Amino acid sequence: MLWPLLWTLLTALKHPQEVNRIPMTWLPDNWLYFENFKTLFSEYPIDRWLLNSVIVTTLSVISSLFFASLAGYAFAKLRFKGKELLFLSVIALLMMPPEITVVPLYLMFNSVGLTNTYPGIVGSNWMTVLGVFIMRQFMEGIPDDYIDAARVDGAREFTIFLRVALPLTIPGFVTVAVLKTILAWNDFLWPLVMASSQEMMTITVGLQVFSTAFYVEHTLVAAGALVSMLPLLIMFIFMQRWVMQSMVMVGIKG
Amino acid sequence: MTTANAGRNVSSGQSGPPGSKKPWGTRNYIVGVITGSTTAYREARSGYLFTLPTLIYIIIIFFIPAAYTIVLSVRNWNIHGFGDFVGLQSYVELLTDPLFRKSLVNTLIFTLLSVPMTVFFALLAALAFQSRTRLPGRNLFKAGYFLPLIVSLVAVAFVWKWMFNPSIGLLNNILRSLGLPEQGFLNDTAQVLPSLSIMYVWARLGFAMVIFVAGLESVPNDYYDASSIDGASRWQQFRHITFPLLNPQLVLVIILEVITSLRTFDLPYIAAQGGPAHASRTVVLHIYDSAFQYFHMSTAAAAAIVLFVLILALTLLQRRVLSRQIEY
Repeated sequence: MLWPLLWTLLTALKHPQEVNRIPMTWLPDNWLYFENFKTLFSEYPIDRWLLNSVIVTTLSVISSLFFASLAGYAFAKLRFKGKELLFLSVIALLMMPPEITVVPLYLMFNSVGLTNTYPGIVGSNWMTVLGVFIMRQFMEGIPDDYIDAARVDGAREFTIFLRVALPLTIPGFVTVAVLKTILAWNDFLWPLVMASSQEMMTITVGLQVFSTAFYVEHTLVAAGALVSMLPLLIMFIFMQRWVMQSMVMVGIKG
Repeated sequence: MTTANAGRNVSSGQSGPPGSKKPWGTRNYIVGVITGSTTAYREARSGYLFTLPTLIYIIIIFFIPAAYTIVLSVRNWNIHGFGDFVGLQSYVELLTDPLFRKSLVNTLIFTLLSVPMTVFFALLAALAFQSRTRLPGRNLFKAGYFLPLIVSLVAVAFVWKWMFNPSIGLLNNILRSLGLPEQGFLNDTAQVLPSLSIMYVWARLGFAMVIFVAGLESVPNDYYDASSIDGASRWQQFRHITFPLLNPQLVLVIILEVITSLRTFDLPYIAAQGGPAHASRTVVLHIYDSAFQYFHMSTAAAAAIVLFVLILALTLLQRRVLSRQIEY
């Protein structure tokens, strides 16, 4: 299972000529050959693409987390008219694949001049309905007494949310953060449509420049793919438990 | 979920909204919410404020685009802007377009190839990695299966494209060294969809596996212990305990995988550019092409509606068939 990833690493460390050798060699001749990465960064605006990805992902994650946990708290703990209807709409939205609305969304974003801007590329990622579900799930586990006690003490709802509900649902919060990071970082179709100049491309979109280029060294492609995966791979190593948890939570939505 | 009316017990001990006979009269309610006259109204006001971003999101990302798509698909819309009402013309054109029909068929073939493989291998992996099997180092292996899921499909497509390269790729090199005939893989019209399916299965396996493992862990050990005493074999245990109890997870994974594979875009777009000879053109690739290469927004909108109907129909069908057929 890990072989394709290992193979990418090995290829990225090979001299371009080693790759075309027949018969094929498995291991690179020189393990400290980092020229591919140097070429990659000098010939393509990879650093800019990475920065764009970081900006877009950070914006997406922060705003999604904030709005999703607010809504999750309201759906789990507050009583107000029309809650059921609103929640039903959230469920309906979950069944709507983004590929289906990409054309009207593009026309809408284009008409307000958001193409090729960071808010435009963040697009529909500023919120996560799945995150609302997950946060609601966790918020429902908070005993009502805690919230009532805070109300008796005269706390406003937002203070209760911030000081009582959120600290008790940190695992849910982290789960949503991890999930959203993966989704936003790997998003492809939308940034592809939105970023019209090379400077505004995210790393996943920037990578596909390789696929349309007339001729690209395979070692460069491998190095590029590796660079695009690296941030999430590092996150995975340190937060494995949360990543898996987030996937199990994705399963719960069914 | 609790309903708004049921079990009302205003938290701080104050009485409910004025006029307890009709506590939720719309007008009183609105006035109450705006003035924040009681704790209950203040609570409701917070509820609206807290869910306002969600409401805005649903409207911008769901309702307006959905309506927009329908309007687009029945109007003659292109790069020059708004056109006339043309009714179902876009749909007729689309469904008689051999290219769209090909992408529809490709998408269905791709799904038929990918989903059963994903489910089968994920089930095998999950059975191996559940805690009952006590495989040494199982968490490490589990992580290995899971890792591809966090890698973007774009990177996956690049990595595998390179492994599938007919002349210098890894796979043909192995075939050659074993004395077997070389294959065309992504360059072969007959092999491109199976090749893409292999990439897809590799990338998606971890997700299904994690869901299955979670399902397996929730099966009480007593069931297995009891059946062992009755002399049931491992296969019988799987057939009569594990498999029926895993039904919810199976249904969920199959439905989600079918939706995901029907939406496939990244893999064929990056690894094969929809080719060779449109052999790997998918519906979403067709939508992307129509809208953003040729600016035929109406065609793209109609294709999106067709895809939506397809996804909806298959999801409903699967819910009925799958939940019923698996006997307990």
